[in-house]
Amino acid sequence: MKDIAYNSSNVLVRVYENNLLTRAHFERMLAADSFDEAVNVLRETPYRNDVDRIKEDKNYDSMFMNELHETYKEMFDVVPNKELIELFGLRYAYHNLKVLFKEEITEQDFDHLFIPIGRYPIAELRQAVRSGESDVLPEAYMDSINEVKSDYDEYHNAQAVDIILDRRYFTHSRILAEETGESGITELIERYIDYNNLSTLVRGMKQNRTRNFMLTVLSSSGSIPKEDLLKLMDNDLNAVVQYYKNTKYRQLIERSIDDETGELTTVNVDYETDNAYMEKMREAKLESFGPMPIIAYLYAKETEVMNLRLVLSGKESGLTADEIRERMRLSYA
Amino acid sequence: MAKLNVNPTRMELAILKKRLGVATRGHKLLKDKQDELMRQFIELIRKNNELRNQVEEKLEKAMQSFAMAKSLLHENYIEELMAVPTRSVSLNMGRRNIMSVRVPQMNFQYDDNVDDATELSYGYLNSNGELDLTFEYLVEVMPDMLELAEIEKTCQLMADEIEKTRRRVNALEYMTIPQLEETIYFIQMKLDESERAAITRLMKVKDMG
Repeated sequence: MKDIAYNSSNVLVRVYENNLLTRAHFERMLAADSFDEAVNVLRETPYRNDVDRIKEDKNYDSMFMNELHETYKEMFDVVPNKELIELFGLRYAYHNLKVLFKEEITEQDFDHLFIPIGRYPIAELRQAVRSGESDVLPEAYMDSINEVKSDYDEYHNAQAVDIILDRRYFTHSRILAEETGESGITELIERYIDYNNLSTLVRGMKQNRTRNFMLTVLSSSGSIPKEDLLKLMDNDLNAVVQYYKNTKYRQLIERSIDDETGELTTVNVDYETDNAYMEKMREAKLESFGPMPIIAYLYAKETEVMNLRLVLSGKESGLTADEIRERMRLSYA
Repeated sequence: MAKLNVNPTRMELAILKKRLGVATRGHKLLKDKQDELMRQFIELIRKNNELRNQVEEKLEKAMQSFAMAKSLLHENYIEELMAVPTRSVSLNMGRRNIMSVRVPQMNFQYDDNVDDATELSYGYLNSNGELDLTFEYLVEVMPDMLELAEIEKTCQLMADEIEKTRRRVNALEYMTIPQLEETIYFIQMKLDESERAAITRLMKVKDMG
């Protein structure tokens, strides 16, 4: 698609970006003495309408969900390339699929667990999960659904639903990235998958997972070959560090090492990969053409929600400002 | 102390003396039971206290890391992860007899299908390192928590029994036994008195003759 196709949406996104919460907002929330005071800061932000409600019921998750829902809806409306938004909202679609499968398996009602974000309505997904067929959903969705279905029919293991869908999510992301036809998107998704694979690898090794398990959870859609990652499983975490030092993720891995123990920690890896991804997104600030500003805005919104949730839930459970601060992800604005 | 409302007869005296004998023996036995119960109770309480501290410490750690994990993830993600329970535990309740107190003995049986008790499988995408830690802590604390449940219940039941026994011991010691003793003394005195009266009467009759 031509670069100028995004012109009108990029202008709009630039305006929206001004509404993102800044570092100063977060700092004030951190400095607040109580949950209520922290919520008060939100009165100056687009979240102002929910402030009073949250103070009462502390149900900030629903506010975040609404906000994201609105953001995605708006983007679906203004962006000419729907696959692009579908790609970045795919995580929610897969979450909904998981919930649907679990509903099917347990015959319970998990209605409250759905996140209504995504290109295709939940009713459509539900029908596909039940019947294994759909006239609306693209093939990649159906492949995922059918893979889970056949696995469950064979092994009757409910936990495998999550694991298979997680892996399929990455594969599907890559397919969608290629479908968007935008340069740079595939590379971005590849990077995203690499980050997730690294995190998965480190977590799996810390938990002494079996090779078989890792074979299922690691994605082969990243730039680092899955075989290499599996080979690293046989060694220790130092080998992982050494391996990654020879890739383009050298800086990332060096920062993920704990200063005190000199080892990779899962928390650090999660933190650093999120930040590195954001660094990449920040490059979009200087771009005026192409899809990057929109993607960056979506990611900025997601990160904003993540940080807000961190601050609010930290305040609610009485964590200190420093404890919260050291976990806060880099924000876009 | 009030004496019992009985007729001061020899028959009554014999009955009361028998009752006193039973009461004294019962008192001694109950006192022994109480002492033994107390000893075991104190032991259990100590163990309970220790275990409770341990469990609370671990739970606190788990809850802290859960608070961290939760703050980085959408709540729906976490709930979805755990929507289908991975393992089921069945409970077999037995009974153990400590000094005639029936206390529960719990046997927990984990599902045999899971090879490793610490192995929980869940999707990595919608969870994070801190959630891993949370699960690790919780899995670790589980057996202790179940043991604590057993001990706490035992302590409760024993405390009840101790209270009951103490009430009985006290009733015997401060009510029944003194009452009996006093009544026996009273009857004895009464009988002695009437005996003396009879003798005096006889002597008088003799003098008159």
